[in-house]
Amino acid sequence: MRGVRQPGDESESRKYADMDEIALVEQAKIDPEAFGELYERNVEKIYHYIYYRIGNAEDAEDLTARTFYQALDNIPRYVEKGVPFIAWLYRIAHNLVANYHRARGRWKITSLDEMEVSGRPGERPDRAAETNERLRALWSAIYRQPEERQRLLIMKFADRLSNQEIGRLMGRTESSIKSLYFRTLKALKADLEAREWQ
Amino acid sequence: MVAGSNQEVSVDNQNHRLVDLPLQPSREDEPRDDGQGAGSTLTIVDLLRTSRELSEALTPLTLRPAFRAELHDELILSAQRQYAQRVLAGDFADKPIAQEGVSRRMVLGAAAVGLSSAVSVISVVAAYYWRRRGRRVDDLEEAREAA
Repeated sequence: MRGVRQPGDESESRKYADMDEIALVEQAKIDPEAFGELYERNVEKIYHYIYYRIGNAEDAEDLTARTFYQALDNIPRYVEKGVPFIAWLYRIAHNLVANYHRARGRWKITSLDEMEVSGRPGERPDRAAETNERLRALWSAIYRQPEERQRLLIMKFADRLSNQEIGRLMGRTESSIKSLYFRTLKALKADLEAREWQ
Repeated sequence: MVAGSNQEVSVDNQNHRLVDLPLQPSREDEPRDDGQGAGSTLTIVDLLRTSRELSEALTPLTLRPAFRAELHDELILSAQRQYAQRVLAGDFADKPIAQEGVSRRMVLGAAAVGLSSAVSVISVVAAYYWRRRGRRVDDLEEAREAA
Protein backbone atom coordinates (compact mmCIF):
# COMPACT_ATOMS: atom_id res chain seq x y z
CA MET A 1 0.00 0.00 0.00
CA ARG A 2 1.55 3.30 -1.07
CA GLY A 3 1.57 6.21 1.27
CA VAL A 4 2.06 4.12 4.38
CA ARG A 5 5.69 5.03 4.59
CA GLN A 6 6.19 8.48 6.02
CA PRO A 7 9.17 10.81 5.44
CA GLY A 8 11.95 9.75 7.73
CA ASP A 9 10.68 6.20 7.95
CA GLU A 10 13.54 4.88 5.84
CA SER A 11 16.01 4.92 8.73
CA GLU A 12 13.34 3.38 10.95
CA SER A 13 12.80 0.52 8.51
CA ARG A 14 16.52 -0.25 8.33
CA LYS A 15 17.23 0.08 12.04
CA TYR A 16 17.89 -3.67 12.14
CA ALA A 17 20.28 -3.51 9.18
CA ASP A 18 23.26 -4.49 11.32
CA MET A 19 21.55 -7.15 13.40
CA ASP A 20 22.78 -10.70 12.88
CA GLU A 21 20.32 -13.03 11.24
CA ILE A 22 19.49 -15.35 14.12
CA ALA A 23 18.62 -12.44 16.41
CA LEU A 24 16.73 -10.74 13.60
CA VAL A 25 14.52 -13.77 12.97
CA GLU A 26 13.65 -13.95 16.67
CA GLN A 27 12.89 -10.24 16.69
CA ALA A 28 10.73 -10.63 13.58
CA LYS A 29 8.42 -12.89 15.58
CA ILE A 30 7.39 -9.87 17.65
CA ASP A 31 8.29 -6.86 15.54
CA PRO A 32 6.99 -6.04 12.03
CA GLU A 33 10.00 -3.81 11.32
CA ALA A 34 12.35 -6.74 11.89
CA PHE A 35 10.31 -8.79 9.44
CA GLY A 36 10.67 -5.88 7.01
CA GLU A 37 14.44 -6.13 7.35
CA LEU A 38 14.35 -9.88 6.64
CA TYR A 39 12.34 -9.05 3.54
CA GLU A 40 14.86 -6.44 2.38
CA ARG A 41 17.75 -8.85 2.81
CA ASN A 42 16.18 -11.72 0.89
CA VAL A 43 13.62 -10.46 -1.59
CA GLU A 44 15.92 -10.19 -4.62
CA LYS A 45 17.28 -13.71 -4.26
CA ILE A 46 13.80 -15.15 -3.89
CA TYR A 47 12.64 -13.18 -6.92
CA HIS A 48 15.59 -14.45 -8.99
CA TYR A 49 14.83 -18.00 -8.01
CA ILE A 50 11.15 -17.73 -8.91
CA TYR A 51 11.68 -15.72 -12.08
CA TYR A 52 14.22 -18.12 -13.50
CA ARG A 53 12.05 -21.12 -12.55
CA ILE A 54 8.93 -19.79 -14.28
CA GLY A 55 10.17 -17.24 -16.82
CA ASN A 56 7.44 -14.66 -16.35
CA ALA A 57 8.06 -11.38 -14.52
CA GLU A 58 4.46 -10.69 -13.54
CA ASP A 59 3.84 -14.15 -12.10
CA ALA A 60 7.27 -14.05 -10.46
CA GLU A 61 6.24 -10.90 -8.57
CA ASP A 62 3.02 -12.56 -7.52
CA LEU A 63 4.77 -15.68 -6.24
CA THR A 64 7.45 -13.58 -4.52
CA ALA A 65 4.71 -11.75 -2.64
CA ARG A 66 3.02 -15.03 -1.72
CA THR A 67 6.33 -16.45 -0.48
CA PHE A 68 6.75 -13.58 1.98
CA TYR A 69 3.11 -13.67 3.09
CA GLN A 70 3.46 -17.37 3.87
CA ALA A 71 6.70 -16.66 5.69
CA LEU A 72 4.94 -13.98 7.74
CA ASP A 73 2.10 -16.37 8.61
CA ASN A 74 4.49 -19.09 9.70
CA ILE A 75 7.35 -17.19 11.28
CA PRO A 76 6.03 -17.68 14.85
CA ARG A 77 6.63 -21.42 14.36
CA TYR A 78 10.03 -21.02 12.68
CA VAL A 79 12.76 -22.91 14.50
CA GLU A 80 16.42 -22.06 13.97
CA LYS A 81 18.28 -25.16 12.72
CA GLY A 82 21.68 -23.76 11.88
CA VAL A 83 20.89 -23.03 8.24
CA PRO A 84 20.39 -19.56 6.79
CA PHE A 85 16.86 -18.17 7.00
CA ILE A 86 16.70 -17.89 3.23
CA ALA A 87 16.84 -21.69 2.95
CA TRP A 88 13.38 -21.70 4.55
CA LEU A 89 12.20 -19.01 2.13
CA TYR A 90 13.55 -21.03 -0.81
CA ARG A 91 11.54 -24.01 0.40
CA ILE A 92 8.35 -21.95 0.50
CA ALA A 93 9.12 -20.52 -2.95
CA HIS A 94 9.91 -23.98 -4.29
CA ASN A 95 6.51 -25.29 -3.18
CA LEU A 96 4.74 -22.33 -4.73
CA VAL A 97 6.63 -22.77 -8.01
CA ALA A 98 5.76 -26.48 -8.02
CA ASN A 99 2.06 -25.66 -7.50
CA TYR A 100 2.28 -23.04 -10.22
CA HIS A 101 3.64 -25.54 -12.72
CA ARG A 102 1.17 -28.19 -11.62
CA ALA A 103 -1.68 -25.77 -12.22
CA ARG A 104 -0.38 -24.93 -15.67
CA GLY A 105 0.32 -28.46 -16.84
CA ARG A 106 3.20 -28.64 -19.29
CA TRP A 107 5.06 -25.46 -18.71
CA LYS A 108 8.67 -25.83 -19.56
CA ILE A 109 8.71 -24.42 -23.06
CA THR A 110 5.76 -22.05 -23.07
CA SER A 111 7.19 -19.56 -20.61
CA LEU A 112 10.41 -19.15 -22.59
CA ASP A 113 8.76 -16.85 -25.09
CA GLU A 114 8.08 -14.37 -22.35
CA MET A 115 11.67 -14.17 -21.18
CA GLU A 116 13.32 -10.94 -22.09
CA VAL A 117 16.22 -11.38 -24.44
CA SER A 118 18.37 -8.50 -25.56
CA GLY A 119 21.52 -8.52 -27.64
CA ARG A 120 24.72 -6.92 -26.51
CA PRO A 121 25.08 -3.18 -27.17
CA GLY A 122 26.45 -2.61 -30.64
CA GLU A 123 25.86 -6.20 -31.73
CA ARG A 124 24.78 -6.72 -35.37
CA PRO A 125 21.08 -7.66 -35.62
CA ASP A 126 21.76 -11.03 -37.33
CA ARG A 127 24.40 -11.84 -34.73
CA ALA A 128 22.06 -10.74 -31.94
CA ALA A 129 19.31 -13.00 -33.30
CA GLU A 130 21.71 -15.93 -33.30
CA THR A 131 22.75 -15.16 -29.73
CA ASN A 132 19.11 -14.99 -28.69
CA GLU A 133 18.35 -18.33 -30.32
CA ARG A 134 21.27 -19.85 -28.49
CA LEU A 135 20.10 -18.33 -25.18
CA ARG A 136 16.61 -19.71 -25.66
CA ALA A 137 18.04 -23.14 -26.39
CA LEU A 138 20.12 -22.88 -23.23
CA TRP A 139 17.12 -21.85 -21.14
CA SER A 140 15.18 -24.80 -22.50
CA ALA A 141 18.05 -27.08 -21.58
CA ILE A 142 18.23 -25.55 -18.07
CA TYR A 143 14.49 -26.13 -17.60
CA ARG A 144 14.88 -29.77 -18.51
CA GLN A 145 17.33 -30.24 -15.64
CA PRO A 146 16.19 -31.49 -12.23
CA GLU A 147 15.08 -28.76 -9.84
CA GLU A 148 18.20 -29.09 -7.69
CA ARG A 149 20.46 -28.32 -10.64
CA GLN A 150 18.32 -25.36 -11.70
CA ARG A 151 18.51 -24.01 -8.17
CA LEU A 152 22.29 -24.40 -8.16
CA LEU A 153 22.64 -22.47 -11.44
CA ILE A 154 20.33 -19.68 -10.29
CA MET A 155 22.20 -19.26 -7.01
CA LYS A 156 25.56 -19.36 -8.75
CA PHE A 157 24.85 -16.98 -11.60
CA ALA A 158 21.85 -14.81 -10.76
CA ASP A 159 22.59 -14.52 -7.03
CA ARG A 160 26.38 -14.70 -7.45
CA LEU A 161 26.76 -16.97 -4.43
CA SER A 162 29.95 -18.90 -3.79
CA ASN A 163 30.02 -22.70 -3.77
CA GLN A 164 30.38 -22.61 -0.01
CA GLU A 165 27.28 -20.42 0.41
CA ILE A 166 25.30 -22.60 -1.99
CA GLY A 167 26.41 -25.65 -0.06
CA ARG A 168 25.07 -24.19 3.19
CA LEU A 169 21.75 -23.38 1.57
CA MET A 170 21.38 -26.76 -0.08
CA GLY A 171 22.66 -28.76 2.87
CA ARG A 172 25.66 -30.12 0.97
CA THR A 173 29.41 -29.82 1.16
CA GLU A 174 31.33 -27.38 -0.99
CA SER A 175 33.00 -30.19 -2.94
CA SER A 176 29.62 -31.80 -3.50
CA ILE A 177 28.38 -28.53 -5.00
CA LYS A 178 31.41 -28.36 -7.33
CA SER A 179 30.72 -31.90 -8.39
CA LEU A 180 27.03 -31.20 -8.96
CA TYR A 181 27.94 -28.12 -10.98
CA PHE A 182 30.30 -30.08 -13.17
CA ARG A 183 27.67 -32.75 -13.83
CA THR A 184 25.14 -30.03 -14.61
CA LEU A 185 27.43 -28.47 -17.21
CA LYS A 186 27.99 -31.88 -18.72
CA ALA A 187 24.26 -32.59 -18.84
CA LEU A 188 23.54 -29.20 -20.40
CA LYS A 189 26.11 -29.78 -23.11
CA ALA A 190 24.70 -33.25 -23.84
CA ASP A 191 21.18 -31.83 -23.98
CA LEU A 192 22.20 -29.06 -26.39
CA GLU A 193 24.12 -31.51 -28.57
CA ALA A 194 21.15 -33.84 -28.73
CA ARG A 195 19.16 -30.91 -30.14
CA GLU A 196 21.92 -30.12 -32.61
CA TRP A 197 23.30 -27.17 -30.78
CA GLN A 198 27.06 -27.34 -30.42
CA MET B 1 37.26 -35.80 -17.63
CA VAL B 2 39.79 -33.63 -19.41
CA ALA B 3 41.84 -35.16 -22.24
CA GLY B 4 45.40 -35.85 -21.12
CA SER B 5 44.53 -35.49 -17.48
CA ASN B 6 43.43 -37.95 -14.87
CA GLN B 7 41.57 -35.35 -12.89
CA GLU B 8 38.20 -33.76 -13.47
CA VAL B 9 38.05 -30.02 -13.39
CA SER B 10 35.32 -27.51 -12.87
CA VAL B 11 35.13 -23.77 -13.19
CA ASP B 12 34.71 -21.65 -10.15
CA ASN B 13 32.60 -19.00 -11.78
CA GLN B 14 33.09 -16.56 -8.95
CA ASN B 15 36.81 -16.37 -9.51
CA HIS B 16 36.99 -17.52 -13.12
CA ARG B 17 39.53 -20.21 -12.33
CA LEU B 18 39.63 -23.94 -12.61
CA VAL B 19 39.18 -25.86 -9.40
CA ASP B 20 39.80 -29.49 -8.61
CA LEU B 21 37.00 -31.95 -8.19
CA PRO B 22 37.22 -35.07 -6.10
CA LEU B 23 38.16 -38.04 -8.28
CA GLN B 24 35.70 -40.28 -6.53
CA PRO B 25 32.59 -38.36 -5.61
CA SER B 26 30.78 -39.51 -2.51
CA ARG B 27 27.42 -41.25 -2.75
CA GLU B 28 25.80 -37.91 -1.98
CA ASP B 29 27.18 -36.68 -5.29
CA GLU B 30 25.51 -39.34 -7.41
CA PRO B 31 22.96 -37.85 -9.78
CA ARG B 32 19.41 -38.71 -8.83
CA ASP B 33 17.74 -38.71 -12.16
CA ASP B 34 20.36 -39.54 -14.42
CA GLY B 35 21.03 -40.78 -17.84
CA GLN B 36 21.40 -37.14 -18.81
CA GLY B 37 24.83 -36.37 -20.10
CA ALA B 38 26.16 -39.78 -19.18
CA GLY B 39 27.93 -40.35 -22.47
CA SER B 40 29.01 -36.79 -23.07
CA THR B 41 32.60 -35.67 -22.85
CA LEU B 42 33.51 -32.23 -21.67
CA THR B 43 36.65 -30.36 -22.60
CA ILE B 44 37.88 -27.27 -20.83
CA VAL B 45 36.77 -25.22 -23.84
CA ASP B 46 33.23 -26.64 -23.59
CA LEU B 47 33.25 -26.03 -19.89
CA LEU B 48 34.29 -22.40 -20.21
CA ARG B 49 31.90 -21.78 -23.05
CA THR B 50 28.87 -23.25 -21.27
CA SER B 51 29.83 -21.47 -18.10
CA ARG B 52 30.11 -18.13 -19.93
CA GLU B 53 26.78 -18.66 -21.65
CA LEU B 54 25.13 -19.48 -18.36
CA SER B 55 26.37 -16.22 -16.90
CA GLU B 56 24.75 -14.44 -19.86
CA ALA B 57 21.50 -16.39 -19.57
CA LEU B 58 21.10 -16.12 -15.81
CA THR B 59 21.95 -12.50 -15.12
CA PRO B 60 21.10 -10.84 -11.80
CA LEU B 61 17.82 -8.94 -12.13
CA THR B 62 16.71 -5.73 -10.55
CA LEU B 63 13.37 -5.96 -8.90
CA ARG B 64 10.90 -3.26 -9.97
CA PRO B 65 11.43 -0.58 -7.27
CA ALA B 66 7.69 0.20 -7.06
CA PHE B 67 6.84 -3.47 -6.54
CA ARG B 68 9.58 -3.90 -3.96
CA ALA B 69 8.50 -0.86 -1.93
CA GLU B 70 4.81 -1.67 -2.22
CA LEU B 71 5.27 -5.26 -1.06
CA HIS B 72 7.45 -4.07 1.82
CA ASP B 73 4.75 -1.69 3.02
CA GLU B 74 1.98 -4.24 2.62
CA LEU B 75 3.94 -6.83 4.56
CA ILE B 76 4.64 -4.40 7.39
CA LEU B 77 0.96 -3.51 7.59
CA SER B 78 -0.07 -7.14 7.49
CA ALA B 79 2.54 -8.00 10.14
CA GLN B 80 1.21 -5.25 12.41
CA ARG B 81 -2.30 -6.68 12.09
CA GLN B 82 -1.17 -10.23 12.74
CA TYR B 83 0.98 -9.33 15.74
CA ALA B 84 -1.84 -7.24 17.16
CA GLN B 85 -4.21 -10.19 16.83
CA ARG B 86 -1.67 -12.33 18.65
CA VAL B 87 -1.44 -9.74 21.42
CA LEU B 88 -5.21 -9.93 21.78
CA ALA B 89 -5.09 -13.71 21.77
CA GLY B 90 -2.55 -13.58 24.59
CA ASP B 91 0.26 -15.16 22.55
CA PHE B 92 2.79 -12.86 24.11
CA ALA B 93 1.47 -13.15 27.66
CA ASP B 94 4.43 -15.25 28.79
CA LYS B 95 7.01 -13.42 26.71
CA PRO B 96 8.74 -10.27 27.88
CA ILE B 97 8.51 -7.60 25.21
CA ALA B 98 11.91 -6.02 25.41
CA GLN B 99 11.29 -2.75 23.67
CA GLU B 100 8.56 -0.31 24.48
CA GLY B 101 8.59 0.82 20.81
CA VAL B 102 7.71 -2.69 19.69
CA SER B 103 4.70 -2.99 21.94
CA ARG B 104 3.56 0.49 20.93
CA ARG B 105 3.68 -0.58 17.28
CA MET B 106 1.65 -3.64 18.19
CA VAL B 107 -0.98 -1.43 19.75
CA LEU B 108 -1.07 0.74 16.63
CA GLY B 109 -1.39 -2.41 14.54
CA ALA B 110 -4.13 -3.65 16.78
CA ALA B 111 -5.92 -0.37 16.33
CA ALA B 112 -5.59 -0.78 12.57
CA VAL B 113 -7.20 -4.22 12.84
CA GLY B 114 -10.29 -2.79 14.41
CA LEU B 115 -10.31 0.51 12.59
CA SER B 116 -13.84 -0.07 11.40
CA SER B 117 -15.03 -0.76 14.89
CA ALA B 118 -14.52 1.79 17.63
CA VAL B 119 -15.29 -0.86 20.20
CA SER B 120 -12.40 -3.03 19.14
CA VAL B 121 -10.00 -0.09 19.10
CA ILE B 122 -10.99 0.77 22.64
CA SER B 123 -10.69 -2.83 23.73
CA VAL B 124 -7.24 -3.12 22.18
CA VAL B 125 -6.00 0.02 23.88
CA ALA B 126 -7.57 -1.14 27.14
CA ALA B 127 -5.84 -4.50 26.77
CA TYR B 128 -2.54 -2.75 26.25
CA TYR B 129 -2.90 -0.60 29.36
CA TRP B 130 -4.18 -3.61 31.32
CA ARG B 131 -1.03 -5.49 30.39
CA ARG B 132 1.16 -2.51 31.26
CA ARG B 133 -0.60 -2.12 34.57
CA GLY B 134 -0.12 -5.83 35.25
CA ARG B 135 3.56 -5.51 34.49
CA ARG B 136 3.86 -2.50 36.77
CA VAL B 137 2.17 -4.42 39.58
CA ASP B 138 4.61 -7.29 39.03
CA ASP B 139 7.53 -4.87 39.12
CA LEU B 140 6.26 -3.34 42.36
CA GLU B 141 5.86 -6.77 43.91
CA GLU B 142 9.35 -7.73 42.84
CA ALA B 143 10.71 -4.49 44.25
CA ARG B 144 8.83 -5.11 47.52
CA GLU B 145 10.19 -8.65 47.73
CA ALA B 146 13.69 -7.41 47.01
CA ALA B 147 13.33 -4.79 49.77
